[in-house]
Amino acid sequence: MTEATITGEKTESPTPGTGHEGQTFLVGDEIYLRGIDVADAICAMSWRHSLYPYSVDLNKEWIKDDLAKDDDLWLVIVRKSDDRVVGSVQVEEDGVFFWISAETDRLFGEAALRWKGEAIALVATWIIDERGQTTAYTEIPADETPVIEKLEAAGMRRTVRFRELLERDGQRVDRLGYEYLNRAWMAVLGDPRERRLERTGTGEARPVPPPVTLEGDPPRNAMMVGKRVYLRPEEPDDSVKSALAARQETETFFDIGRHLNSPVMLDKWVSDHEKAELPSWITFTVCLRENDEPIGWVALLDVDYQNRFAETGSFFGSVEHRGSGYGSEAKQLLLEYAFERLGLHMVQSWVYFPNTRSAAALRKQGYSESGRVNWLYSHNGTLGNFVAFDLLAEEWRAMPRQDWTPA
Amino acid sequence: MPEKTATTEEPSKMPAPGSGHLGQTFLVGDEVYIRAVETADSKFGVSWTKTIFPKSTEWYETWVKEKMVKEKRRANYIVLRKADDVPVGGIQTWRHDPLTNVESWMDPLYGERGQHWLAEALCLAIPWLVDEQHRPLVRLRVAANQDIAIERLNALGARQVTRFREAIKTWGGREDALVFEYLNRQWVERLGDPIDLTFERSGSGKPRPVPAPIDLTSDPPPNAVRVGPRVYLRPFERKDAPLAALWSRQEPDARWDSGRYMNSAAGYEAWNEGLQKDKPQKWVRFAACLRESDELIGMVGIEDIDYVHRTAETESVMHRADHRGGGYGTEAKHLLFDYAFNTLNLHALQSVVIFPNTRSAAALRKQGYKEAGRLHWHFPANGYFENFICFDLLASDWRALPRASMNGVHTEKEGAR
Repeated sequence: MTEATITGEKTESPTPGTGHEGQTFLVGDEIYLRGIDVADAICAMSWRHSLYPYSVDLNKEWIKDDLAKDDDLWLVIVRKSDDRVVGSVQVEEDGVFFWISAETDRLFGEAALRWKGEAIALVATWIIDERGQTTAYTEIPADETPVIEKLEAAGMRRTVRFRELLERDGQRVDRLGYEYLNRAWMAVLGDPRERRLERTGTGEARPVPPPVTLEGDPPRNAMMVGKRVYLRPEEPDDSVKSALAARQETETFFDIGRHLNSPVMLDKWVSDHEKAELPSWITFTVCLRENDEPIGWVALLDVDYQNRFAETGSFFGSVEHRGSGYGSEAKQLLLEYAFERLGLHMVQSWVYFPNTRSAAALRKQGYSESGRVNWLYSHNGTLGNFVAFDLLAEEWRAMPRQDWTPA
Repeated sequence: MPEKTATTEEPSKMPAPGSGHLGQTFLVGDEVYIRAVETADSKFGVSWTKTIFPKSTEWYETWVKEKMVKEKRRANYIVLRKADDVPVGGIQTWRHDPLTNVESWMDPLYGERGQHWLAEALCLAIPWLVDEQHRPLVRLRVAANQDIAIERLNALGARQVTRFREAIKTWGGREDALVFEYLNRQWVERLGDPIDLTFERSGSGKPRPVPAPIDLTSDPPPNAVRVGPRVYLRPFERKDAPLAALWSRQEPDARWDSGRYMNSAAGYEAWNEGLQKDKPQKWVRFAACLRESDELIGMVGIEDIDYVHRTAETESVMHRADHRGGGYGTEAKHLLFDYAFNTLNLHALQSVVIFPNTRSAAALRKQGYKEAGRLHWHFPANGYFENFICFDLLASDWRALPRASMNGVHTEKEGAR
């Protein structure tokens, strides 16, 4: 199948294997990278990071209508010997942080993994060493040894391991995070790996509150009910309260300081997510059982139904209800929902280094540290780091069930 | 929103709690009654909708006013508690004569009480649909741990006809799905009880080894998604549609479900592209092609994908009569299983075949499927209603099947993946 057979047009194509000639950068031993062309639609299943089949015509529309407008940088990975497209790299730029995702067509066997590793290394070194950026980061399955070898050979360092995050061929596979940092910036700011994470609390997990047997009726529209709080869907009124609570915030250490929220934006956010038949964000409002007052939210973010994992998040806007264990109670209801109703295999969570209280709360809830991701955002004249956590369903199920009253 | 204004501003018009069923002449039980959906029920959407995803009252209001009212074959009912008119569950019917399919839901937070209400509601709704509304049969699925409903359904005269293993993700685990049916007595008198019908089995009934995964020594075909010894899967393309339309006209076998289909190229293209445009795809279809010539021979797919329960139904159509019976269909099917179980990570697959189609049933058994039961009276066929035999296949069953090379058919070395 060639482009000509699909469009009926005759195109002058250069001799196979000459495509990289004259290109001055992003050319490796076996592959090179170039921007995406509409003609690449004919082999999109080799390079589009998709779970599903799409026809050549739909791929053309996607390249022209969506990819062309995408803020992310997309490059195809091309085999030097015959200019066949075998994969692609997507780079998401978030300020100082460049997240690289690469996939190659596994039908090419072991070679596909070498090409993937080579492509990531080419892109990371180009962004950091040539373009002078600070941080390049990628995550890869832990069983892709040829990729790991290429990344390590290029000087990339492993910073995090999320246990059993992926599922393929009936097996769970860890996912590893690798970083590549700018040496000149390291000379100015120091090596972030030497920055110690401050820890508070004992670090020990507390028992999980046992399931509540309801004496009377559940609160209206409740989906998960605990001893003192319950989870229900978000309602438009909640966003007005959230926006007000944000203006009355007393703490300044939350990630990048206080936020100002517009209720209109929050509403749009909620209604966009609930329109999806299979939502990628699942947010609950946390309410007090005694008076139905909303005190915050808990959520599963970026739910991956194929691999059955999600990121957990929570926020308690009501200052007066912080530190009394309501947050942990709500979080445990969210975890029961995630593991027992949605059937997730694991969850992960990220916390800014200065937010030691949230990190301590995650440890109390049963999470383990999986590593860190460095230099994500600007903070106090330097670049700030995240600490990462994960929690497996089986670990959570094995935790003791016991009622405890917060001190 | 006139209803909302009416209910909030004129409370005098609101009936006293517990009086909602008064005067209603049917579908009223001891503890619950059933009525059609009203906009005000949106406030209780979580209790009566069969979903585990949180949705706001506004979302339900929009759904009731804009989506529900346009439903043609589907009808939605609310189960309310008599004592205080609080919605506690829901019943949805889908009618396509002779079949009426019933889906039911009870807010799980009501625990065992709720399961009693659900059982009562089903025992009100099912005889109403069949005995009063003259529908030939009602079919419904319950989880194997819904003891209370199962006992009441048996007492009512409904019967279990199928068990799909491990098909339902429940709160905290996984359960078999039991399919119950309740038949109209007058139709049984007219046509006989379909449970007495036996279906013919052909073939040994034993599964054959799965074609071993191959390590390609050469490049994969362009745009291939899965590659077997002789066949590969790729996305549906627009150029396939005229071929499918032509081949449908040349079909020699008239025993496809309800006779031969007549495809239009434009319709076939729009329909297949529609599946690809779905986000996420709930029906994933692949074109099966011969490796030696890139020639299209048929389509294989998984439909009704449920990403929470992790189940789906498989389908396959070998458009080309001259390529049937050569094992190409089975080879394509195993590539599909590899995608379903090893990439989509589904837990179980189902498949159904009409009684006369013994060849497809034999093929399913060879592929590793096990018989799960039967579904009666699905559509009219020459003086009777046609019946299905049902199969299921668990990912663990399929993984445990032996792998074998297809000797003499391909030359590449086998690789364990």
